[in-house]
Amino acid sequence: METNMTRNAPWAARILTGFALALMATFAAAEDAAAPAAAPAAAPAGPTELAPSPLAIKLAPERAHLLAGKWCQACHGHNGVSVAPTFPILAGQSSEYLALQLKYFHNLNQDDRAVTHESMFEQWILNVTDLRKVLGYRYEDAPRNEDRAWDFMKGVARDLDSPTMQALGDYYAKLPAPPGRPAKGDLERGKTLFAEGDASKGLLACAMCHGPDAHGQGPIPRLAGQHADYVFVQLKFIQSGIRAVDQMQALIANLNDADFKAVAAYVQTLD
Amino acid sequence: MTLNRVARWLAFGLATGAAWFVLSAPAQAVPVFARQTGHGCQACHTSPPELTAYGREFKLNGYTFGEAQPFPVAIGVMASIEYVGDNTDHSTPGAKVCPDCNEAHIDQGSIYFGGKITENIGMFGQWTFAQTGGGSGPWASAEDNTEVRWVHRFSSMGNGENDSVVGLMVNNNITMQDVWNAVPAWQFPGWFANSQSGFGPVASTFLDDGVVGGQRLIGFGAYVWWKKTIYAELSEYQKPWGSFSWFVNGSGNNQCPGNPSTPSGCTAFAGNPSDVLDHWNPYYRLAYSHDWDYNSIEAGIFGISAKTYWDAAYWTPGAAEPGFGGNAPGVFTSGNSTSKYNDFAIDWQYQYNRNEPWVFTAAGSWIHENASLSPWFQNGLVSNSSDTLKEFKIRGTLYYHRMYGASLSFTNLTGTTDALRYAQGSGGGSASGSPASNYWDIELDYVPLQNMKFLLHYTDYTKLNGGAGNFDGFGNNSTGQNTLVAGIWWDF
Repeated sequence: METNMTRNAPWAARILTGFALALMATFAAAEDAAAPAAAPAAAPAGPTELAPSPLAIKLAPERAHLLAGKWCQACHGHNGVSVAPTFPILAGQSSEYLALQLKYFHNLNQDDRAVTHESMFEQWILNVTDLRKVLGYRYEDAPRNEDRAWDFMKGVARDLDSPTMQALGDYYAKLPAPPGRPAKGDLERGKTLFAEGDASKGLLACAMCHGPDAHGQGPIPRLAGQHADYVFVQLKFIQSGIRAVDQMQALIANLNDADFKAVAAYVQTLD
Repeated sequence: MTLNRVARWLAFGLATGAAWFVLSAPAQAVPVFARQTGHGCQACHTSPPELTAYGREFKLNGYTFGEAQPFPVAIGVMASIEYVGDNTDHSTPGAKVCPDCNEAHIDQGSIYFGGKITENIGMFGQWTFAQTGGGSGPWASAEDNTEVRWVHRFSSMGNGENDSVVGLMVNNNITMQDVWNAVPAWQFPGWFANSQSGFGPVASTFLDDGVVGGQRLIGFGAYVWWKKTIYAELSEYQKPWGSFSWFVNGSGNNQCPGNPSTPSGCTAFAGNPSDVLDHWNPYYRLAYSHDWDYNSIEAGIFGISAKTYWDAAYWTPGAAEPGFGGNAPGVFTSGNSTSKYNDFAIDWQYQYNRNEPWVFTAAGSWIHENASLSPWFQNGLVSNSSDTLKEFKIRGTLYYHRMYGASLSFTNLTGTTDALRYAQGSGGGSASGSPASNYWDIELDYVPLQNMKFLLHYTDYTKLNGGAGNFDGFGNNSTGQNTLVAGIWWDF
């Protein structure tokens, strides 16, 4: 019980709990009575939603512009066009989708599944006792292994307020998306999967949601021109539940790596 | 109930609370930069201290990403046990090559501090505690690699999003400001600071801290990082003075100039650790970088033109410093007052960082040094008025799932034979007067947590100081100096 409670607790609560434990031991001795077994009370964890101030809303576009040119560009590249496929291209992406993702990363800071809220000790034990990890099955591993999200974006989004997240989405949505690029792979198969789906595997056409040109809309991301390897890794994450997208997880449940590679290669070639 | 009993319970309660607090601290609570950015270590490091492309961006942008921390301090600890091939020092009856080998000990503890200060200013600071005298002396602390940067981002085309950085910096170790891991300050081997080992090479270049030593000088530099493609830097190194002495705090007592004469000089050197470096010692650096897909390559040059005064050993404390308003009595007999070191180096690095499952780095460097040692020569302390020294290094590092790592490197030192400079001497001198050394380093790593590394490191000397068997003229063999290190490195 205590473990669950403390795992979610922010630092302040941890400090308070530490003091409470110390005090409890003292009082127990002073009264010469056994300490009660109940865990001490601590502040409930979880995201606190405050309505953004008018000033925050007013400053958000400028903040977003500065952040993009300073921090975001380090991975996502100049004008939102990243080089390494570890990081998605953001230029021309749907603004609503980007803001939603930032919100998700922001909330990871409170998510009890995020590895960084397990204690060092717990994390160590988990690591050294996890045979799957020892054998190297990391994609299929538990949600705590969404390395890219918590190694990078969780921290970036940690201190953003919601107007700034929205402004960042707007900023990148306005940048021109790069044209499609040649990709290696079974493009024919990819095109079929994207445009028509595969009834034998229970896959509906990707185009149904992502649009015939894969330009996305609203909460549905643009895929056209995205790094094939990034799309492939995300499909793996979504299929295994590491990245929680319920609507898609069921649809792609029966696809294999070859399917993923084909469709990922295909979308990279689209303008 | 007695007050004593209450006090005992209180102490017990506090200790329990403290222990619980430490053990349950979030794993995110690793060094300063991780707390500041909220990133995992692996965002910036393939394996500390090697940087990823993002880590290089973070450093070149002056450590200013993220939110400044109210308590920007973290701890690093290195502990190990070492074994050498032959722990008998054949030069001295009963003496050991490595007196404290074969026993576990803490090599060093570091306090990291700094990080983002303002939107444009950031620092990296490290204060290190280590045992002096190669692990047999008392513990002492000193400023380790430390730097402060001011950066400004700009758009090279004058419009649109900023794409380039200019920066100004102050640091205390040549090449510590660099972001690629082929320069002396950050290259492998040397990532783990084991305090115990066998005898090593007598020679190393000025760039590789062979003359003045790291953290004994201060550098002021300006750089531009243009469109993630060109890095150009000009710095100037000199003796620390005034408030800048803070950057080299403590290092006067536990690091010695040691070249080309006896390293006892530095301990005899009283007072504030100013070094015997001349006023202006320009350092330059130009590198080309290119990223594509998961790959990053870098190729570059760097070098320094340095002048040093007489070794501290020959400078009477309290006397006027040579070249600063008169020569100290008995210091110079005649001729030039400074030795000159011209170092030129090329370096390269290739990095493949797909994150999963493989991360691979290959890197290398070649340093060429021309040393003009007139004052030493005129005083009969070296055999040649000028020497050359060449240092070649190449290495590869491979990580699987960021958890299992292996590194292999080869180092080759060659140079002018100088019987007096690299003299035959007990404790690992050179019988032939040659600085030539060849050695291999191999390391296996296990990284169960991002901030904790277990390692096995083996150094194999195929040639040491000009020879293999009896290289020092006192019966010591190069293979006897082969060192195995089992270590743990933990940052928190």
